[in-house]
Amino acid sequence: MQDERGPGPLTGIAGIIKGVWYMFIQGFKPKVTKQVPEEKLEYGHRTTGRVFLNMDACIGCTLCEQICPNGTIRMMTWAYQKSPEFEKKYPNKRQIYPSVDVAICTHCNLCEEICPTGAITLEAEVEEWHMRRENTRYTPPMLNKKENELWGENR
Amino acid sequence: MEKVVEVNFGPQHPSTHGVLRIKVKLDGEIIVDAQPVIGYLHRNAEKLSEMGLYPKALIYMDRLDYVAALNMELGYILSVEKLMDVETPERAQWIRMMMVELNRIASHLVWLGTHGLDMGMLTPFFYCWRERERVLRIFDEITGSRLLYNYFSIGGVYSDLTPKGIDMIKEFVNTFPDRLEEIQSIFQKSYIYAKRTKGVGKLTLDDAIAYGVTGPLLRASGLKWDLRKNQPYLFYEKVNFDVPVYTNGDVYSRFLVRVEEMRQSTKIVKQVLEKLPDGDFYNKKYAKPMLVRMKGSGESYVPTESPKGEFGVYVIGDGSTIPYRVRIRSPSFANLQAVSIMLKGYKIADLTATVSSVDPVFGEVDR
Amino acid sequence: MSILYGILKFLHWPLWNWYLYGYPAGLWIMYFVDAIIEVVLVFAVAMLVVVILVYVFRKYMADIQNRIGPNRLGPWGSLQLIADVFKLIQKQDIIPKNADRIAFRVAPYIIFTPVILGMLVIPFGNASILQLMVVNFKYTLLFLVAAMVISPLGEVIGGLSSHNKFALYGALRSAAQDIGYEVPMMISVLSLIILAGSYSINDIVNAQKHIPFVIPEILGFIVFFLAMIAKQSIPPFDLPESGSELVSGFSTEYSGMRYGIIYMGNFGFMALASVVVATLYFGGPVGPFFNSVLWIAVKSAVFMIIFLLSWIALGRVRVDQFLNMGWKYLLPISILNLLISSLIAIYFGGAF
Repeated sequence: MQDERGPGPLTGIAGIIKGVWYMFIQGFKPKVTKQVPEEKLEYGHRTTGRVFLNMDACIGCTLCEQICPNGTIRMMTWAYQKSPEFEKKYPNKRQIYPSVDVAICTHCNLCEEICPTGAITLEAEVEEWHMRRENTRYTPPMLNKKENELWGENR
Repeated sequence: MEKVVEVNFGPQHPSTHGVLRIKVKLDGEIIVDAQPVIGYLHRNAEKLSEMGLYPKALIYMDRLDYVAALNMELGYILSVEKLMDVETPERAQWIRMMMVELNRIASHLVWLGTHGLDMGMLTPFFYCWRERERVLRIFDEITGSRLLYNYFSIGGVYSDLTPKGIDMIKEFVNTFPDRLEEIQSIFQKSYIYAKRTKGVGKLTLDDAIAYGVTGPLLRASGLKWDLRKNQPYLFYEKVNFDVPVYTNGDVYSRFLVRVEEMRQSTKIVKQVLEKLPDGDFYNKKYAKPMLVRMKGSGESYVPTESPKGEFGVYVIGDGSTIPYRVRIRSPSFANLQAVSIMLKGYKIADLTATVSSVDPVFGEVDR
Repeated sequence: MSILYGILKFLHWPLWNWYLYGYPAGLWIMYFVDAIIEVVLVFAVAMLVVVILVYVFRKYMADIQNRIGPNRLGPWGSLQLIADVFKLIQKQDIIPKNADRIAFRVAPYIIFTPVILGMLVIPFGNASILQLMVVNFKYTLLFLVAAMVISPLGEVIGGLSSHNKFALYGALRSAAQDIGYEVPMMISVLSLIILAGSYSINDIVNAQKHIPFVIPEILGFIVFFLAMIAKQSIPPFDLPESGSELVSGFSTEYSGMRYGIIYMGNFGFMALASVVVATLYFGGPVGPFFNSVLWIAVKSAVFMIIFLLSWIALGRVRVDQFLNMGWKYLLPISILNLLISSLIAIYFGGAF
């Protein structure tokens, strides 16, 4: 273990000068920050971002509404006609789909974990900013599109 | 004419580590009495956990000590697994151990940076943050988030390690001890820092045991008590590491304890990387639709060692899918009570040094 | 600057031929106008030096901390200070209700004035035939020391007049710090006077032709250097404005442009202190082959970098350890230095 008594006066003052010299040397090393937004970092492939819904695969079992911790997901009735092979594999007789309030969602991944068909996923879409305070509860078709398609480049 | 002036170091202050209010009675520059007042960050984590299912309470546990979030999840998950008699596969336990030790390094780096800032040094703050950035990128690669993870689940972990993640961990473990040595020597060998922190904020061993203080404060006062060795929980008896103990009980000893703990954590991560077995990473019985149907009955409490002290969650289940009572034992709440005896007779400049050496995080104190 | 005076005296330009008791009054008015012009020029040069110093400080601090400093406004971020000044000007002017209004308003200017007063008496050397020194009389060193004493007084007034307990503690600490470090500083200046033999800075600079004064007086240099760091209130001795203990020390209640003036006063004092140390102990404009203004620029730039490094890299000391060091260690060392330089003066027979 290290010495618990600490430095005395002479070694202490030598230590001060050594510390200042170390920081002076650091001034000549390359910098570690990047200039945002011209250069961007890449996201990892598991980055949790906004909720995305694949309406063809949703069967309306309401398990995501039961597991969501703070009541972000609520089911809405929405008339959507699926193509015949999806209708046979993933029937949705009651025609209910989840709608998400993206301002409250905490990106906790529980709805993605519990969904039996894999219809609801979280993609790496992290730039959710708007210039005006629009309605933040996204209807099921809106959940299928990326932010750039919904609101345009300039918001 | 009275000599004692009462000053309020209010909830908004540049150096009280959060929202802490201390009412201090001063006589010139000497502190006569100090009373901390808490409760400015109460967010009702316990009551909200009692209104939902067992997996739902995990996101409230994340946000208690936001700097070391995986330790908080581990405390809750171990209690619930003991309540319901869930078996977790071996690979999941080893992965959990590695993630918890990496989070301990990140939490101690935050403490080191802000401790230097309280003493007036502006630059070690940036050096510590640069090292912590590498740990957060490892977490982003494996779990998907940088600060609040929701990575553990009842019966294992949520997703497996990637090969790129393992390479990043190996590179981090090989280069971190040299950098830590350089940052440590800025503090340890400097005469200004040594004179400012030796003999300040002394806590004797009898007082520490009487107030229920745990963690690095207890180890700096002389008692060798670490829950990873005395009551081992995951596979901690199969890796070897040391526990640093000093006897003085002042701020300088606590600094030495925490820096040494960072080194031992790096040693543990290196050993886990070599010993990692193959297999499943979660228990398939407790996945998908079972998440909404888990039932538990009885009571359980498993204490774990978080970077701040002893953390545990006491869970009572009454046979249904919703827990009856969730009680959180947070270490910073007990450590903060000892501040009022640590400060008697010292000066104003010692107040910031002492409060920052206790290392409170107010998400955990106020719950 | 005295070439302007010389030209006027040669040309004898009276504004009107009006003789008052036999003396030419027009000539006096001309000399008065000339003095005002020189002071305004010194003020402009001091402001320019402060602006450059703030820019260098921000970029250098970012360099040591491995990050990029300001780089958005202007080429390489050089116009950042102007944007900050605009931001500070448009803020609301808040004065606490129970504060002493007149003293509160006057205090920042008291902190700022010694910068200009000090720059007036320092000889900046010769640039071709121009002699760059504003004022030269027999007692300029005493004037310089007296001007540097005024600056901490502004801190005490500002802290006491805001109705705030944190400001009170900052003001009292400032008073204790300045009293404790005045005495060693003046004793080390006294030993300089004994070695050089006169009270004028011009003579001290000219007496360092053969050897700079730092070599016979190494102890005095250490004492003076530490006392200069203590007078500027920069870390490791920044107790009056301790950034994280008391919220902001004596300047807690100052916001907007008043805080901007205190900030610029701090940097101006740093520039003045580095020029003073370079002049008194290292020779100023006197160099090995030729005398010019280039030498004093290089020497004071080196000292500015040393002061900036001390700000960026070191922590803060505690009040009682700090006063301990001043009274118990620096004062005996400076008296010892005085004895040594008197021995040197007697042995070498009179002044240098």
